[in-house]
Amino acid sequence: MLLHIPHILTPEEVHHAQGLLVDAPWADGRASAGSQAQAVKNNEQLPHDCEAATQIRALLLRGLDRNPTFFSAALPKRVFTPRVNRYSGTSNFYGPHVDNAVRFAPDTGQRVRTDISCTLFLSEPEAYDGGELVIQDSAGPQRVKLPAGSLVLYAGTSVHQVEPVTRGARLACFFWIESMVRSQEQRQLLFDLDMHLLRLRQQHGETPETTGLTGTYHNLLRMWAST
Amino acid sequence: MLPLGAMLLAGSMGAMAQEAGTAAQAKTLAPVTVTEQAEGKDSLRATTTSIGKGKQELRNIPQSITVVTEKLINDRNLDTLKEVLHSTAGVTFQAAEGGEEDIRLRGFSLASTGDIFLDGMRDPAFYDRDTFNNDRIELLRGSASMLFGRGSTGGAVNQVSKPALLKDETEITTTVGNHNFRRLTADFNIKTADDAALRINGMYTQATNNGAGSSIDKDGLAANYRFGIGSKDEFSASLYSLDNRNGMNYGIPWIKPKATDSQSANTLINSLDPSAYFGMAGDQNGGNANMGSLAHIHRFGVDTELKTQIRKGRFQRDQRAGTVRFAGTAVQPAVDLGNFSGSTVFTRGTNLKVQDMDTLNFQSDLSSKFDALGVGHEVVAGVDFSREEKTVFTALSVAQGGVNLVKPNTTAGTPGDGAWVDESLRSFREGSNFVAKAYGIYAQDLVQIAPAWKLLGGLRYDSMKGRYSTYAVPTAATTPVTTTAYQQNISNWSKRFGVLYQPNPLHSYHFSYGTSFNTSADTYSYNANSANTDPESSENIELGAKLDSADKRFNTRLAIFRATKLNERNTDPDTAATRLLLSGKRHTAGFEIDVSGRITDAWEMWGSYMWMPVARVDKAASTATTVGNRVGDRPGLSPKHSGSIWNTYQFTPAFRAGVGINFRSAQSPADVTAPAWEAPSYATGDLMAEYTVNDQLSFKANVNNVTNKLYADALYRGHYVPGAGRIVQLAMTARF
Repeated sequence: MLLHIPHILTPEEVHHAQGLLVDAPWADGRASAGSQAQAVKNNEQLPHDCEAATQIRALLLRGLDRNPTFFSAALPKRVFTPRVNRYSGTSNFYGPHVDNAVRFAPDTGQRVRTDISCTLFLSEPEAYDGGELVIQDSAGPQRVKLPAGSLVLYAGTSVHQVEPVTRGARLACFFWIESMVRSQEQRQLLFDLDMHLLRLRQQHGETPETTGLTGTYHNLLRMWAST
Repeated sequence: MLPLGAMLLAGSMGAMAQEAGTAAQAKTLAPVTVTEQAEGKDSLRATTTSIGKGKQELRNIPQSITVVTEKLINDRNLDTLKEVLHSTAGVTFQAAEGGEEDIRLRGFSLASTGDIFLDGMRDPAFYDRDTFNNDRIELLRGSASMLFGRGSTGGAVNQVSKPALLKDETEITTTVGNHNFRRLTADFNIKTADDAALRINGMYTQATNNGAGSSIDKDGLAANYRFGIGSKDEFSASLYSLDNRNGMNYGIPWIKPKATDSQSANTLINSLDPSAYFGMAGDQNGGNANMGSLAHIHRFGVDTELKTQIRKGRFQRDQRAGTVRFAGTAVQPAVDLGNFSGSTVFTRGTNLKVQDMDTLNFQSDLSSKFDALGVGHEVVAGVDFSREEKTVFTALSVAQGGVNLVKPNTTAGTPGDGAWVDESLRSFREGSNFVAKAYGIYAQDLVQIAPAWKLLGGLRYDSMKGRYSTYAVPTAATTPVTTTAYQQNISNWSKRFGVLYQPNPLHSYHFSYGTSFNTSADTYSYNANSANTDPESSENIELGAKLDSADKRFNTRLAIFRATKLNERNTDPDTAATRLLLSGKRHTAGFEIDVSGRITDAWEMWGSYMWMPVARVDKAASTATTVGNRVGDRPGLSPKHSGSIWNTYQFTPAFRAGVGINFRSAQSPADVTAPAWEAPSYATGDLMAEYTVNDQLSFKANVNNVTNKLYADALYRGHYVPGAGRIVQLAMTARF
């Protein structure tokens, strides 16, 4: 699954977030990477407890709260602390890697399985060259570079990379989700069913057929979801 | 129209995100205690506290608070509460006749007024406290009766226990060191269900010498089980047991440079090693502490919770030790530094403290955040009840059927001579009994009156009923027992006001005024006059700031304060008086600064410093003759400079090293007959090196008091107890 969700943040929110990052205390991004990823990672990250990171995280979580498509696609159970990173200057790429399967939140002792990876773009595409997020999908490499405030959601299982930024700075927020539905295929089926059903309900209103299919959706979810 | 998945899940993403101390978390019912504690294991910096009753951000408390996190406790190898307090500014120790942890803060006594707390409840018994089950130690400076009830002129110390966390983790540390030091601590954290966990901490320590003369032999076990963690109803049950069979250094006498000098020239015997011991091999500071507690938190919603705790404690103390003094002129000429040598003879006295204490505490605290009348409120309110019973035992004299154990003399050249007497031959009778029943009720509101301004007001009412009985027997028999009883009822109000100015999330400035009172029952005894005397009262004025760096990883706290005891107890020169005079007055004033956190990614720092230029007795009884109690005197145990600094630097991912200093400027013992003398100022250096092999295994080496500096740590008019000399310890920690 690879899904673009536009307008997670409003232009005002994007502007606010960019403002927060002007004088932010950036640190080496390798601190958060696993050993395989460390070898290929070269970017900067915000300490997760600094003011800018805290505020941007709050903006993002509010944005997600407003977005029904995101919920339908992710069926989230747990979210690993969103983080903010920057690719620019000499710290400008993140080679091909797979994210750690389980992230450990030391604060709570809670483990989060990274079923879904998400990246929220905070820089406008014209503000930098390069920096494409390249995801190895079943359909081949997908190159993603979205407007600021938009989000891409993709399977945590895929090999992905961020290509070198050759001009400007690429700011983004990234995080992982443990979904109630562990299997990517099942989650995809549920999402497709939900979207088609939504269109049917929009076109025809609620009918006995949509009610029946709604039951099917819930029964599948009941069969597959762990809460 | 919404997708089904969205309808189903419409809720807050913030509630699913797991993290500490963020805006997102404030919306959830996440286990706040868990997140707050984790900070202390990983950082020298703390941002929240429970000392104010209920969990609060430090920046919202208009008073100076020093928090020593578990990380600092571990880094600096601080095994006892006393060692922890050593690493904070403004704290001094009186050696006292009981050899207890008589802690002074800002020059005012803490221990004798019962200002030591465990998880917010009074922990008044005297025992050698160990840090094996401490998540952090919090030191609140200044008057705080509004929160804690009677006491707290100088402040209060709160020990926070390690709570069960939702994770499976075991940490075992083995430490070996000089003086045959061996310590084993084990910390098992077991997640037993999605919302339940059990934590067990154990400790066993032995050493022939603690660096200051006394042996160590103790073990402890603590368990905490919590379930419903983070849910609407959270329950917690805890057991704590500590058994001390420690030895005890009762102190070394002061010495004059020349026998003809006045006592104002008194100083330390610098030729002795700090670890030299002249007591009996059988001297002990034994005792045990056993506590059982239950706690329940009910969360009414995101911002309101009610926490109820009950604790039963039983403490036994069995101290059998004695003063060390120069033998008199029948044995040797008057001793001074000129003739002091290895053949100088010491006598050894008998100073017994055998006593039991039983405590029962109950308290219920409600904390709530809400908007009313157009402004934001943060309310904390609660009630507490306590019953404390102290029984003191008296040794029977030979004429009463007891024994008189004769302790042989020793010489300065034969420290640790191994001589012992069989202390178990002594027999005891009940000498006195004190029962205090008390309750308190309080409420405090922090009101957001304007975007950057908060006002704080709090009021507390206390009632205490004290009953004290002494039991006298004839000099040559154990009966008949003559009972003399005293009793006293006290009721008192305490208040606290504050203004907070918080122009941005990084800066918080405060002005506060708080009062406190302490009763003549603070030491758990009465006499005919003290039982009739009203409480002493105190006030604390403070102007301070809490400033965070832009990335919030470094905090600075500073304050100027003035603490005043308004009506100190004095003996009435009128011998017919039935009560003590409350005519005294004294105050201290100064400046404090604490820093904690990361200066760079690799450099972490912690510091605490107090400059107290002013400490003065303002009014006293006309008969006052002892130094520190006459008008104009500077009270003892109130050094002008005191503090501690600790730095660590992460040189490589595997290697970290630390360096620190503890220092106190010169200070006098309390209550000496004029002229007074001062114990010299001192500074001791500490070093640490840590090598982390991997997540499972690390090694740490500590050298404390690197130069083996001899200094007077606890002071008394008759003697001083040296601080620990050079301590070298190597620890291996395994985590799995």
